[in-house]
Amino acid sequence: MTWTVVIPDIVAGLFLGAFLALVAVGYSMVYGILRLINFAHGDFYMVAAFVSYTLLAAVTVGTKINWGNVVWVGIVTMIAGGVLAMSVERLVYRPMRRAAILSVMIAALGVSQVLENGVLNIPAWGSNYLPFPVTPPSTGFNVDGVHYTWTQVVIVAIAAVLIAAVWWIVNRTMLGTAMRAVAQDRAAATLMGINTDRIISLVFFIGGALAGAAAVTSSLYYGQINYLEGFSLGLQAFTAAVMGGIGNVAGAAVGGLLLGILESVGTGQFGAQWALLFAFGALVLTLWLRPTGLLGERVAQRV
Amino acid sequence: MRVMSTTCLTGVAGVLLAAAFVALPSVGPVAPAAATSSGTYLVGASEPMTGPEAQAGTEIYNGEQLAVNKINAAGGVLGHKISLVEEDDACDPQTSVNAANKLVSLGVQAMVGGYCSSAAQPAEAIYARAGIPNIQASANSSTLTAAGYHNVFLIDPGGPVQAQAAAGLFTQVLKVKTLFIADDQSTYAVNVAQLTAKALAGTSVKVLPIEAIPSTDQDFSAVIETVRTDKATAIYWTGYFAQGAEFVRQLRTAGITIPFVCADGAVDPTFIKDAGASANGTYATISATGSLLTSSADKTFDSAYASKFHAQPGPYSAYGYDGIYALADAAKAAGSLVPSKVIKALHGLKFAGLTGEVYFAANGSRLGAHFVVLEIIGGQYKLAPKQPTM
Amino acid sequence: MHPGLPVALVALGVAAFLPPLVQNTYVVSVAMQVEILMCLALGLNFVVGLCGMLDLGFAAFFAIGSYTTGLLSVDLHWPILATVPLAVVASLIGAVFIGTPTLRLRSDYLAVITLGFGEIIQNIVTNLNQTGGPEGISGIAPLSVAGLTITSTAGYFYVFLVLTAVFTWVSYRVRRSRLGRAWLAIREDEDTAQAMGIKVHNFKLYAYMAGSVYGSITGSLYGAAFIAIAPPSFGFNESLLVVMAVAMGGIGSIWGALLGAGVVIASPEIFRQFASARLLVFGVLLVLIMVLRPQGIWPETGLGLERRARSVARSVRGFARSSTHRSDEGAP
Repeated sequence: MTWTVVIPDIVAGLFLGAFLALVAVGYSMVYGILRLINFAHGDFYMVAAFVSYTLLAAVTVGTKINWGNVVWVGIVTMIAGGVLAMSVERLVYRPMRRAAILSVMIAALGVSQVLENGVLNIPAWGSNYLPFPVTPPSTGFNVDGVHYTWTQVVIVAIAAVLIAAVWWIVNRTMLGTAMRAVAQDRAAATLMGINTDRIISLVFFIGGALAGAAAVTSSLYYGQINYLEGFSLGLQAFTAAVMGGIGNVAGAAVGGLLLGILESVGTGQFGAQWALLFAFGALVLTLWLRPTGLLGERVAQRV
Repeated sequence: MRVMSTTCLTGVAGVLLAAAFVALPSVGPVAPAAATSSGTYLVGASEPMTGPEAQAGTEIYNGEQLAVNKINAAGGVLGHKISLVEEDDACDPQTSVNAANKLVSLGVQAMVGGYCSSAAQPAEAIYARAGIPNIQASANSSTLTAAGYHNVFLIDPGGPVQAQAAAGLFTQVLKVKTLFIADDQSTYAVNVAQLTAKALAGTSVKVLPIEAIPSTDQDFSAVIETVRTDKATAIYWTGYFAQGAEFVRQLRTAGITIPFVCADGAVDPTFIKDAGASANGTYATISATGSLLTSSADKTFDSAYASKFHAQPGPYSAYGYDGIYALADAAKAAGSLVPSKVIKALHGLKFAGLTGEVYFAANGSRLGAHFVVLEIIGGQYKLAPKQPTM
Repeated sequence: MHPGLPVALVALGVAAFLPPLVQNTYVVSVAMQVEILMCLALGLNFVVGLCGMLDLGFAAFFAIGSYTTGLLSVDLHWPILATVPLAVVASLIGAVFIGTPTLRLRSDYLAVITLGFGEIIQNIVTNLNQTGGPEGISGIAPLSVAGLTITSTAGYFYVFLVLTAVFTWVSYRVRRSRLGRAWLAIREDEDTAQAMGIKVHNFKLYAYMAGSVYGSITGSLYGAAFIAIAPPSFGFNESLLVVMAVAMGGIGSIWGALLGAGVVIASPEIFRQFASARLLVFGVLLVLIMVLRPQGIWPETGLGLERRARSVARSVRGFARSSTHRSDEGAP
């Protein structure tokens, strides 16, 4: 393992990890507050990508990139993602509040199927890989013979800002305290006068909005969208969230970055087909050595 | 006592319900009567309609539909209009078996379709037992002909011929020193990759270990790093077009300008659209087929496809088209729609299709297909100026 | 004699006559796949249903069984039945290897690790040339029992029918044994179970191992029935199908697992008339069932028909009583 080869892989992994982190934070927050592995979360990301695609396709003329358009489409997409997440919570998960968590998970699977196949059957969207209407410039700088673009830097910066904002909300505001209270003990939170339904809706909104942000930035960067891209990403994000310590914003972010790096280094060292194995192996090792995840909190649990 | 009878009752009710539920699929729209009596030639098409390969399935089906429309407009096959019945095989063995059984129970007289070899394999036995022609538009793994069924015909020539064309391109035209081959872990891509590596053994081209990239991977940064450190001087991508476009885009953004060659799975207008400017200057190996070349038959296929489906044909649409024509021509040659006679006629068939001359070896594999090298110039596929001699 | 036994025998009898009754290979083939999922669901039922552990990688054992049999059959030409014990041993090793360090974890972490295990197994069989790579293994020999070689769909329908019946009977017996009672105790309250002297960790491992046995035997016969096996059939999607069957049917309930398997396999087939929207309809059905009946269609507490019948009877009585009262009072 020569270090000169590994470093560009690590940097590439950090970049990939930025997307994973955005989605992982959303996944983690939803899990923290409801103990639900929301399999549909990756599909919120996917639907948001299609929404941003449609909006941008409608307003883009020619190939010159209009950053103003990208920004407002990004914001609208984030809102759309948040609204979608909130609606699913209201329609599907809230009626199941008292049900066994496994049943809610299956319902989430159902939602995932509905979202994916819904997109598949909308004639304007369908099964193909649709090219994103806007291509970011590839101007950048070179380090050690490897070319990095300003677009990558901006995307990582956006992800960092968003995650930092969410962390601040969760850990430094009254609202965040309420969220953490509901996550810790829903009954006690209600007794304390917290409107748990509203808090849970808000958490879903934030998760969906983050997924929307990830959708716009990654669609912009990778240039194509597809109706099945959400599920695999969602799974990776969940893995990242657990690795970092579930229910914990910083943990999910760290987990996302780490998973991105592991996959990238794994590809570089062993070949792309072994990357996932390498990442999962690392995950198993992490949980073995530190069962609550890297930044996991000591949450009171049934021993 | 009361508890026991209620449990028994509920048990029986549940079982009957379950049995009815399972038997329900057989109660469906009454299947149209078999061909000779009612005037339609019922042909099945088992394609992936859901799942990751849904796009490929749609493209093949559309190609078939186009052929069916053309034949029906000219009076059909021996006076019978072809009726295509599509069933989803989801590129999955179990679903494919169900699709095959469903088609057979509907009374289809032939099956033209198929994209995934792993899905086609278990279904082969079902079509063979039904005694109907099993014309695979795109699935072409050698395991399909290894089982020895006489009703299997592969339209897609597959690996060996393409590998030869690719090998010729790398040795004669591009004169590559170190070749980086990557596949997307699908049966077809792995096959082409391995055969190409084998064809280049003993030549001056050094072939690096084949990189298998999972088809869900979007990020190629680490792979590109490997390309750089291994000092590859050309890349051969044998996977599908979406990933290929992503790969070449990121490759060029990273500043790597070495020749990029695709196998026929990546030949699709979407490749050009998704890759943008990076597509220019890339090559592709493909059987001499429509959507890109100059013969009038190809142009009509292209425009007909575009006007009917509002999209460009995919890499395998032409195979679906040729598959239907193979069936129709064989039936005409046999003078009958009876499956056993059509199968016999298929073995002796030879015609000029979109994908070249269509005729079959004794085991059903495709002969007569001829591969060329394309180059993308100015956002369009054109025949590469220098073609390898094979 | 157990109250459910006549029902079970009736069900078996009805099922046995399905192929000659229906005369439709498609229906028999779907029924066979229902049986396969039933066997897998019964296996997962030990882990998720009886013991309360969330296992998202059950397909790994299915894969181990299939590939062991596939490799031994194609490479060494072993008869299928001879490969089954080896497949079981292989999956038991896997279960112990993964289970021992991880079963003490919280359910969410366990979920991820079992998911990881499933992905790892699928990844390995996809990437190794020895397991056929992405193409998988083809040319697996058919099952031969007592001199009879089974090659038809109806034949395998009966094979899996027998397997389902055996698995159901074993599940039923195990549930009523000390082992089953220990598992139920663990599911209801781990601390109390531990306090009662049940070595929780060991019993969890036994549940995981029992599930793996069911999974691998089913996998072995699956290979023989389908002649060819390929990696995509053994991934997360397959694990989810089994979890869906158990959860939709009713967690922990044997009848529930069987019914759930039926719904999960039959629905997408019934929805073929919707062409490419068939999975969309299936998704909607899934959501509706879980929202309206989260405990599953046939949970352990029974179908609830008795309670419903009683409440209907009560409201009918109430209605009758109120109408006679009205005539007494003479109010308009």
